Amino acid sequence: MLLAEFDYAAPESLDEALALLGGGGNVRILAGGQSLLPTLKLRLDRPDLVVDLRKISELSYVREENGEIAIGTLTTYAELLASDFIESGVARCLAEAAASVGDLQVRNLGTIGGSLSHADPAADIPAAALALDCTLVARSEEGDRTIGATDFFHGLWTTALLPSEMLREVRFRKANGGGAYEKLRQAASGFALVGAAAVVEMDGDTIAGARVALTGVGSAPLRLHALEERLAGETLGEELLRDVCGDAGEAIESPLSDIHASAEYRAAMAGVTARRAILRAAG
Amino acid sequence: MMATTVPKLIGARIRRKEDPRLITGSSTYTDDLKLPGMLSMVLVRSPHAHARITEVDLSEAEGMDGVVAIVTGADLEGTVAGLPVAHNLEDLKEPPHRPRSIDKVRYVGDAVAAVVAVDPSRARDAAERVHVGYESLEAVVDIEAATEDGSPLVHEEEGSNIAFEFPFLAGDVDEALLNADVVLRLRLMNQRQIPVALEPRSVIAQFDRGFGKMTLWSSTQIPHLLRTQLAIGLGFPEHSIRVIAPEVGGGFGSKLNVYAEEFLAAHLARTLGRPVKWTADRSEGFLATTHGRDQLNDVEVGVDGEGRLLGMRVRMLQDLGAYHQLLTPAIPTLTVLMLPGCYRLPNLEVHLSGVFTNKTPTDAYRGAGRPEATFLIERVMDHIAAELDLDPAEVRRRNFIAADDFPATTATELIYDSGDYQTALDRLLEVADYAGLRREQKERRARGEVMGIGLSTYVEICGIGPSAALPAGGWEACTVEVRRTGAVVVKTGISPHGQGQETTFAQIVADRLGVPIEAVEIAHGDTDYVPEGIGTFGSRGMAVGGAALSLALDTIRAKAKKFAAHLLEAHEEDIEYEGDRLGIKGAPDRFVTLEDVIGAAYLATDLPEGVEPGLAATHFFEPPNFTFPFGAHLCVVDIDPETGEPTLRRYVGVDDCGNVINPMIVDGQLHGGIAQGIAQALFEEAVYDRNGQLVTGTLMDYALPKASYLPNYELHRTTTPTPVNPLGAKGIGEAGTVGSSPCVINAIVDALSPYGVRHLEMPARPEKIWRAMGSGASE
Repeated sequence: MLLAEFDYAAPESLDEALALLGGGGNVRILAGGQSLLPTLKLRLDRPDLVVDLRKISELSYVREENGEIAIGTLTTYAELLASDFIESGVARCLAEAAASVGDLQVRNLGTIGGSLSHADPAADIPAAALALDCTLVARSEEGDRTIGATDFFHGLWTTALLPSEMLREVRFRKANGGGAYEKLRQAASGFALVGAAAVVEMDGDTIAGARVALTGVGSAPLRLHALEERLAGETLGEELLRDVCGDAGEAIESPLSDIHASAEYRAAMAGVTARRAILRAAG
Repeated sequence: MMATTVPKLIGARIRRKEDPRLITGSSTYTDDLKLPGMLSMVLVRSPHAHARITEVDLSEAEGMDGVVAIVTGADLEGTVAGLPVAHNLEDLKEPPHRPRSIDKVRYVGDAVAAVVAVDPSRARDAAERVHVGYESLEAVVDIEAATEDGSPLVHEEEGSNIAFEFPFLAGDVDEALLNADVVLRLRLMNQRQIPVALEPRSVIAQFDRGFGKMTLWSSTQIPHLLRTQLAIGLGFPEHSIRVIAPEVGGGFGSKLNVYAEEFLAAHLARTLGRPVKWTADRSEGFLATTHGRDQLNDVEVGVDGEGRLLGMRVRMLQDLGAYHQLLTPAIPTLTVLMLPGCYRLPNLEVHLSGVFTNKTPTDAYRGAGRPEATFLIERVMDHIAAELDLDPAEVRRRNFIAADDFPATTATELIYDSGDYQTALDRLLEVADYAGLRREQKERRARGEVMGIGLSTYVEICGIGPSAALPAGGWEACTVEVRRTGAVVVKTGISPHGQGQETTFAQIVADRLGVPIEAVEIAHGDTDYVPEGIGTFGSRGMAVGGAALSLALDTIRAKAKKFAAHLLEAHEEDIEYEGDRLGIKGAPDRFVTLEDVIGAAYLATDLPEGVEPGLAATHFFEPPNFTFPFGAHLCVVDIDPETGEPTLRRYVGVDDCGNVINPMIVDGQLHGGIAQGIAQALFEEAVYDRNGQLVTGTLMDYALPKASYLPNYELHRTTTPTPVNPLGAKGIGEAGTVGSSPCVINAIVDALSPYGVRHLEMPARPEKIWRAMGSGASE
């Protein structure tokens, strides 16, 4: 539990934080600390500098702007869950994902921006971000840069963020339809053994459009584009979903295999969770 | 006058006296203590499971800021003895277990050097700069491979990885199997588990040069045994050692030990002349605190056509890990003893081998050998039921030792003190509505749902125990002092660390002496204040420690009666002691109170003839036998046919631990115990890879269940007192764990029986269940 030595800064403005980030060296951002602190305690990471964002209160918000819901990077899971904006509709998948994170203590401290930036391959929020087709706003001293969710996650703990950048905001369009998140929990960590987020828009009995994403199955969360295409325009039904989702696992290039579950099980469960998520999102 | 009636506290649901300080964080654990000039110790541990040490280079670390001393194994040779192992086995191989390794490391976490610095961070920084050269050796990981010729050897000088053989034979198993209508064969793996006490281990040693006195604070279950072992191991006179177990945040058997860090801290405090503290962090504890279970059993069992046991043969391999800790080799011998379970088993043959591997040593873990036995025999019962198409409850009924057979001698020569297994099972089937559940199961199965009902009926060996059966004494000691103001101090040799004896002992004192429960203090865990004791383990706190308390209270009551008789000018045998009044039988207005007696005893101006002043007594209780609590458990499990995820819908227990002092505490012990058994059945498993690396090295991978994973418990009791001690109490600390693992697995196998499943290894993770259903059989 004894951290290696590092410098620590707790800037009070975003600009100050960005200057520290751009200053070179191995710099780590401390948001809720739910991933960073265990890593430091195990001495798996030895930053030169830790930049603590928690004094920058303007980074914590959930609000509606121009038909979009905007979430500040420092918003905790608990704050997000307390917001009216994600109670229903497509955002439901984000609410369910956030509610399934860790335990109450983790949800009171962990942040949305932290989860997305850390990009743990089994984190819940990234799947919801993909299904909602979020826009991620990165900020550096140069200014803002927007990145689509599908371009954001590059692999194991790696994202499109540059060393000089930090995630400032996540946004998604308020759209018609419903959302849902289904998860099989890894019993020890509470992370997703397999998680599926779905956003579905219905036109009567017909699926007008769907976005489905998986987490926990590969080195990065992924959208199931082929599956989405097969759903579009079809009549919603148990048989269709079984057929379309049955081979959902095939979209995963090299499914994770570890002591908690084999690749085969994860691939099979990808289909089950995807089907259940779609069904609930459509309902 | 009217006789006053005081409500009895024994048997009442009294809230625990210790809880307010524990819940509000106002109690003191070892790591909370800060002594002037205290130094911190951090250990350099091996990253290899098996390697030869080629070099230990301290030069960089020794020069670092704040470093006071670094010691290696070689520095300790001749000064600090090896760690003790207590056993009754013949021909046990006892390779040296040095507090620090010298030549070789034998498991990941085996310590090579100890770094002492002015604070823990500096000690840890310096420990990283101790450069140890290792020549990696092939690791011994698989327990069966370890027994084969040509296997690499954990201890070369011993010539084999088999540390001991323990053959046992009662009757004629060959003959029994020959005559059996059915012979069943099972292989059962009782997986390795990691005890996770909320408080990791922690030690502080302080040496007073003036008095030559060593004080050791340790998060231990056995301060007195530790005191003795420190005296032996460090060559100290025992009167110069004081061991204090402050608040101890759980142990589950993992603190029933004498650890290297305790020897090291004491040695370093003495040589450096400053207090030395060591506290494990969670991951270090996973490597360097004993593990539990890890036993492989091959079972052959013969039954007649009615499902009655005729004979059983068991080949048992116990993974000991790399070294013996205090009770490592003794644990599986408890499994052997308890193999007959609740049943008549005339013929039994066991061959137990204890095997060294390159893993963390195993030792006691809640249940300690008995869960393994119960798991084995309860899986056997369900196999018999499946094979003969009988109801599992009926198979048990046919094999139970009958209520009028007690005391009952088993094939393993134990004498079960008292019991009534059939009544407990009948009660369970009634309160759980077993018939109704079976009907429901039939209906659900017709709808394609997967539901299982599991039973287990257990008996365990507790109240440990008669000294003759143990390597280091099985008695317990207690002093009761009635102080001048009416306060009562109990000094007990047990060392509770969550079991609640500060409350239950106070209930007994309040009833027996007629004092308010608030006037009673239960002192424990300090060898200078409580001079003798054995400790808390093996569900012995009440059955043995409480019995010693009871003897001391008898003596105090008898002495109080002498004073009362003297004050009332009556005969001692005519005095009745009820509540706080000591009066003359049949003369309700002639009495004195305990207060009067205390006054007389301490003023001592008018002592009865031949009676000493004061009102205090010390007793040692030697149990004539173990106690054998028992019970019957049932659970209902629903399985998601698509994912294999099991949900425990109901968990019902009927437990019998003899007389109950505090039902709320008994329920609490059962809740925790059952949770730990469910955890073994469904979640927990220490996984090593083939190089001997602990893969489940943190709580991110080692699946400790969360509260939300567990069901509500429906608990009921029968009461069959034990004749073994004056309280009639048997012990309840481990019963829940012993009974629950087989109950859950039996339910899951029952649920999967339509798929032809007869057994599933623990932990029954969703994927295992899913595969057992035929890989994604969703139809």
